[in-house]
Amino acid sequence: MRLGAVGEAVLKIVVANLQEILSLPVDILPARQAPEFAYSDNRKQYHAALILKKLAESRRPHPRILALVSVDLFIPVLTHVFGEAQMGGRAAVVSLHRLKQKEEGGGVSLDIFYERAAKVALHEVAHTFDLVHCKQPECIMRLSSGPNDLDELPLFFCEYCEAFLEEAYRRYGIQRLHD
Amino acid sequence: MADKVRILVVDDELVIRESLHGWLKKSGYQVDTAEGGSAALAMLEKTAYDLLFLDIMMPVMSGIEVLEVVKEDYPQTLVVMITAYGSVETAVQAMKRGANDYLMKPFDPDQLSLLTEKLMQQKRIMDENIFLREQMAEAIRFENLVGRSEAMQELFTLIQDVAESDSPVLITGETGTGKELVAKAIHAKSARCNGPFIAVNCGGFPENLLESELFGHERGAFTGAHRAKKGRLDLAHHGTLFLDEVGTVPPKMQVDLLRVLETKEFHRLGGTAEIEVDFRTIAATNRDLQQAIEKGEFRQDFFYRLNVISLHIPPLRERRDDIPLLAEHFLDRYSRETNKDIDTINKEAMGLLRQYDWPGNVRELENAIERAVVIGKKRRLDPEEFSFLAPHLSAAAETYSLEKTQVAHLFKVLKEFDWNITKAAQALEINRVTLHKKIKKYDLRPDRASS
Repeated sequence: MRLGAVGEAVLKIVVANLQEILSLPVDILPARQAPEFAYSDNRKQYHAALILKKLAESRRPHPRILALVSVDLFIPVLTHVFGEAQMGGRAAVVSLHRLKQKEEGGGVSLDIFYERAAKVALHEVAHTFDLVHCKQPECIMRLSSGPNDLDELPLFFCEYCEAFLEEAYRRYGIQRLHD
Repeated sequence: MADKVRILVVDDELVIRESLHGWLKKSGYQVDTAEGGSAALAMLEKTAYDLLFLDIMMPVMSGIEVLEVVKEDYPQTLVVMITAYGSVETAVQAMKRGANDYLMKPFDPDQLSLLTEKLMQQKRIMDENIFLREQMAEAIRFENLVGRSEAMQELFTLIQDVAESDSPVLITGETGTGKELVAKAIHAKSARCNGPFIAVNCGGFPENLLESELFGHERGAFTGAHRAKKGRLDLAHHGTLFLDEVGTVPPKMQVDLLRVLETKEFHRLGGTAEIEVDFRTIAATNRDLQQAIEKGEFRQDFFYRLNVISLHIPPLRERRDDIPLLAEHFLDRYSRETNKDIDTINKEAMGLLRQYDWPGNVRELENAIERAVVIGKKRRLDPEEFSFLAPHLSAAAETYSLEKTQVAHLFKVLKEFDWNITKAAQALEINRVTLHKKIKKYDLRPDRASS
């Protein structure tokens, strides 16, 4: 689901990656307005936890709901987040706001931007399946704090996280696309 | 995965608690939250946290106050102070008081993850150090004897030297100092270690039974001797015979034993056949045998035979530096045996243990720790768990607290007047009602100690 000004292309790339790498069937829900209810005057940013709460209340039948937003997200202890998810819950959100920039300043190419968006989406959705941050260097669940860190991450899960994910699908009764 | 690391987030703001909790949980840490200092301290009593995120500005109990308790009672827990923008000075103060680091709200995610990683690494090193220290403590423990005081180190060296010879040893020391442990250590380090270690408590038998116990008897040697029985001298063949409380051996038997020690031959009661034995003798006593000799209660020749090498074990009050090590050793043992998660003795309680004279020595200390572990309900032992020792301690020693001094004094006076309120009140120069109020306030009872 898109909230606010999010391009069609990035949405389709995220969906394709979720379907391919997580092997999950994905529906695209109608776009909605930017999440103004989560705006904080103090922080001049959007409160990620409030967005998650709203998403989790959705009456849609989908077991997981991911929102893409173009605004900058925060949680009260942190200056910003690229994405946020309910651990073992239903909702996840990805902010595209900081993904278009280089840490050292300037913009990045569209390819890099799309890849970053896909990585954050996969990472956050995996949190909803109880996956925690991974210490393996070659794993998308590795914690990344800056956009450059994101570029270092591979677009796949390590074998441990893959196994945890499989186990979680069984636990939550999720049918994989290729089963 | 960091599933074994336990973190406690202490902040009065729900949003901070929730978001930090969520973020840390995503990194696989086990996270709990507390909304204030008292709740945090109550949780720390029950759970060993590796890391504390502690807000400086909290109502009722400030983060600095909590920090002070944590650093004193739970030094293994690392603390990161959380501070609001503009209160860096307080954070620096907190660092001076032992906080491991501080973070300013809101944190940069990069900074938070790097700091958490760094502290977890530090914690791993700390835990490794504790493990190494425990191993060292194990190394200085000599066959269950514990001590790092100079006196005990000398004793360990002596045990090593003595073990190499085959001469008789006389161990002296007060009751409960571990004389049998020393005897066993000598045996274990000696060439006879594969032979038996046979202990006889000479004070534990009436004269005729001791004789039969030591020498054995043939069938029908006396009424009730329905079958032949090997004596302890026999059983000690190729091993070590440990004569505990040798000072209680009756004079007649001293002669018999002296002969056995000299000839290494004896015969059982009611028997005539000489039995040859080969054992090493180690004797122990808490009596002053020189004095017993002067009084004619102990034979000088028997004494010389036993006392070829003498070892003295100092009483615990003369090696108070060993008390913490011993106390921790017993705490470790009894918390494991009773399956209780008690891992420290608080500083004040340790002070009490060091201060007490331990007339029953190590055995009494062991019993005290066992008792405290059994009654203990928290993760650490506090002075109240050792209240049964307090009546024997000098009233206000090592405390400047007016209240504690008062309680101790009240207890002392009440005890002195056999809990007669009228007499105690007169002595205290207060009226009975006031005394009653104080007794109620401090819950003073004859079966309780003043602390």
